[in-house]
Formats: sequence, structure tokens, C-alpha cells
Amino acid sequence: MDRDLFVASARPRWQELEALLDGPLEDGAAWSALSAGYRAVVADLSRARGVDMPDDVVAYLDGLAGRAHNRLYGTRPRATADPLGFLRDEVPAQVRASWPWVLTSAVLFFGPWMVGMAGAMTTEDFARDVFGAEALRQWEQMYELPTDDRPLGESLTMTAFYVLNNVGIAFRCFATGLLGGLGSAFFLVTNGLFIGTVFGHLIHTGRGANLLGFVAPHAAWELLAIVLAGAAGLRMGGALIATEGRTRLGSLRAHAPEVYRLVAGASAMLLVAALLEGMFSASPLPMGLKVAFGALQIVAVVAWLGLSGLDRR
Amino acid sequence: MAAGGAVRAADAALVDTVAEIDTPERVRFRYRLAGPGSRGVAYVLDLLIQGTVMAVAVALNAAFALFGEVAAGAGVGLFLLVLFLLAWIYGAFFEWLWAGQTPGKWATGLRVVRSDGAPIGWSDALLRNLARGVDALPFLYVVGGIATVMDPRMRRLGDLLAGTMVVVEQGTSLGDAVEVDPPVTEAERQALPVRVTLTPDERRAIEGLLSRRPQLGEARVEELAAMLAPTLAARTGVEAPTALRTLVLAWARATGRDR
Repeated sequence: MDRDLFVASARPRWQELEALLDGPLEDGAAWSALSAGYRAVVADLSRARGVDMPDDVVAYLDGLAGRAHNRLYGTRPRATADPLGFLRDEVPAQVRASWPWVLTSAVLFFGPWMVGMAGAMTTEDFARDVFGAEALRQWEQMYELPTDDRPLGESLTMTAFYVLNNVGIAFRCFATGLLGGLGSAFFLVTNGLFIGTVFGHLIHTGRGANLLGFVAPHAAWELLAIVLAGAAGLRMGGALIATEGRTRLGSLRAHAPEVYRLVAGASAMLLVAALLEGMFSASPLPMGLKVAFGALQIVAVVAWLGLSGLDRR
Repeated sequence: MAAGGAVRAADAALVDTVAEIDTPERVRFRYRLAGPGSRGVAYVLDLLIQGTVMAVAVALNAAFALFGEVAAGAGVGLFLLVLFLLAWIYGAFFEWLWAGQTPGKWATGLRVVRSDGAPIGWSDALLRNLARGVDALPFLYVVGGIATVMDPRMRRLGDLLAGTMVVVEQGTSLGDAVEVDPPVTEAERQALPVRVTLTPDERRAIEGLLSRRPQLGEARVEELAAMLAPTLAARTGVEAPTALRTLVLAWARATGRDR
């Protein structure tokens, strides 16, 4: 069969399919037509290969089949997934199952934190060596006033800045785990050290109460989110190093669901932290109330991660 | 209804810019893989869109500042929030919503699909976009760029993690019908051998060439025809003044289009 005969005999149905692909598919009949057209085109495609049609015909049919395939199968199934159940049960269960990674991440983050805090509280020079005098002055300025005296506009700006900054830290701790886990470790250690040093310095210079008033309401969610994101990053690094008989890529892919549950949990926690930060941290509520609320949040996070979804695995 | 099945590096010896998909219908079709270039273009388009949104946010920010100090602070906060959404959510959101396409990918005809050709889900979209944090290192996607060059399917690290690849979805157009132009004259018909048979490869090459004749230009077509004409003439005994005419006549006789 020559090219023109082949094309002429099948072209009407190809054009029909193209028209379907270009427009919206409104009713069941249109979807059936798409499905039928797709099957006809893949049949034409294998026939075109079988009888050695020229490349332009095969390439055209490949493209058409690909577009029809994506339109047909690219429809998202009606939400059978249960995002709330996922967060309520599966994420905590995963956090507990991945406890060695979570623990490692926590040590890498809070260890340097303690060192920084202890150093900055002992000598003035420590914080200056870590940050430089100029940056230190900016930190001091930020916490010069207690939150109930700080202008509301400034508080709102600060809140948004912290959301952006801390989400960035958490996701970087996660993503750089693809470099064999080293990136995660690096960002966990440096950020732990920096934050610990700032805290230590602010406490040392008598601004501790102002700081506490701002961070207490959301700290539990935010800091543990960074730890979970770091754990997900370390898990990727671990999967790349200890492959357990798989290829490196296969090992990474095999752990992708675990990694996803950890990082999705971290993302949700960052969202909670951002909301709390916006509503409470910047607000001029009395200090005692904020600290009590913060303590309640610690209980909430620990209860969620420790107890929820116990029947899951 | 999962589209799926094995995927193999198609004709590994020939080309590596193609991924072959086995569909549930037991047919294979091929995707052209998107390289760093076209993906870069899509990315720049997305950046332009993000830049536009950011410009609007800056303008809003300035407008907020007119309403006093609290509103000004809220305006800066809002701007930072927009920045956050664009930096971390934009890609994952659109790739989830539009089954693997951001606006930039849509405009350039690219789509993210799973390695087996199936559409990506929310978790794939989130993982591959969060991994931009490492692919973009140390600047301008150097890490991701190196990964796409080294990987046979041109995947960046985020794609490797999420099990996805970026394919070119844009359809190629069909060439024109093969025309015997000008038609075979009576004299030519008399001179042709009674019977001409073409191998499938020869027929395919000639048809491919003739259907692209308008785009290529006569000089180039003649040049290409000259690569096949001498051997074809020697084997079949078709003779004509030009190489192109030799191919046209041989093809016309073999397919019965010489009258």
C-alpha cells in the first residue's frame, strides 16, 4: 500500500480525533468518540509501522496517539483519595516508622542549636563571630520591642518574611538530600547553629521575652517541620547509598512514597505554623497567653505524631 | 484505569531522544523527550508569568501603602506571600491541575508524564517541584542541567525522584500527498520497464522525499534524490534526465500511478 492511499483512507478519522482533542469534551458521547478514535489511531499507527510508511506519517500518528492518550488517561479520577485521613493517620505512622531518620535529623538540627545557644549565652564574641556585628544589630533591632508594643504593620511584614524564609529552609533541607544526604545534613547543621546562636544572643542581651512572645505560638510546628523535611532528605540520601540490592535509582524510587509522606507532613505543618504565626505570633495578645498557647501546640504536635494512626502499621 | 506497562528505551542503538510507551491497548507509541533547550524556554515563559504576577503584587503593595502604616505592613506581607506561592507552589499546583503542564509547558507543547506514560499525580508533582531546590543549585539550574545531559531520558534530579519525564506533545504535521508532478508522459511511459519493484525502504524513502518536496526546495530535493537514483536506475532500468525524475518514474510505475 502506498503512502497516499494509506493516508487518504484513514485521514478523516484522524481529523475527527484532532477536532475532539482541540475542543472541550462535554458529554459521554464525546468521551466515547475520543476513546474510539484513540484506539483507531493506535491501530493505524501499528499498521503504518508494519507497512513501512514514511517517517512523517509515523511521527504524525505518534504525536496524535500521544495527545489522545494523555487526554484520555490524563483526567484526574474523582477524588478517591482522602487528604485528611492521609494527614491524620498515614503521616504520623510514617514518622514513627522512619524514626531513625527523624531522630538523626533532629540531632543534626538541635545539636548545633544547643551549641550555638550555649556559645552565644556565654560570650558576646561567639554570636559576632557567627553573624558579624552588622547582622547582629539587625536581629537585635527586630526584637527591640515586645510584640504587644510593636506596630501591627511591622508584625505582619515580619510574619510573612518568616513564612517565606522558614519554608525555604525546610524545603532546602529536603531537596538537597538528593546529593547523597549531605546537603540535608549541611543545611540542618548550619540552620540549627544560626537559629540557636540568634536565640542565645537575644536571651543574653535581655531580649528573650520579646523573642519568646513572637515564636512561642508556632515554634513547635515550624521546628518539627524542618526536622521532618530534613528526615525526608536524609532518607533519600540513605536510599542512594544503601541500595539493598537495587540500582541507585530503583532504590530512590522505592523509597519515594515514604519520602513523600514525610515531606507532605512537613508541608502541612509549615502551613499550620504560618497560620498560627499570622494569627497569634504577630498579635498583641498578652505574653502569658501566648506562651500557654505555645505549650498547648507542643502537646498537640507530639500527640498527633506520637499517637495518631496507631492502627496503621 | 491506569495507563501503564513497560517502557523501553526505544531503538537504543538509534536515538536516545525518544521514549516508547506500551499502552494498555497493547500498542506502542513514541514520545519525543524534551531536552534542556525546550524545557529552558518553558521555564523562562513561566518566569515571565511569575514576574508579571510579582509586578502586580508590587503595585498592590504601593497602593496598600497609601492607607497608612498597618496596611503598608500588610501589603509587604502580602507581597512576600505571593513570592512564596510563586517560588514553591506554582509548579506543583499547575502540574497537578493541568495533568503535567505549567502555563509555560502548555505554551511550548511540553508535558510531564510518569515514566510509564501515565499522567502524574499530586505526589509526583509535589516531589519533582520541591526537588527544584537542588536542581537549581548552585545557580541557573546547573545541577539539573548536568543531570538532563547525563540521563538517557533527559531527566533532572526531581524527575528521577518522582519517576517522571518531560515529553514533547506538540503534534507534527502530516506531509503533503505524493504527487507525480509533472504527470508521466506517454513517451516516458513507453520507455519505462514493464515491471518495477521497490523495496519497502526504497518506497518509504521516495515517498518521504516527495511528500516534503514543497518545504525542501527543488535544488535540495534533487541533491537528495541523487543519493538513491544511480543504484535504483542500475537495478530497475528506469532512466530519466534528472535524479528526481528517476525516482518519481520508478515510484509511479511500481505503485501503478503512471497513468
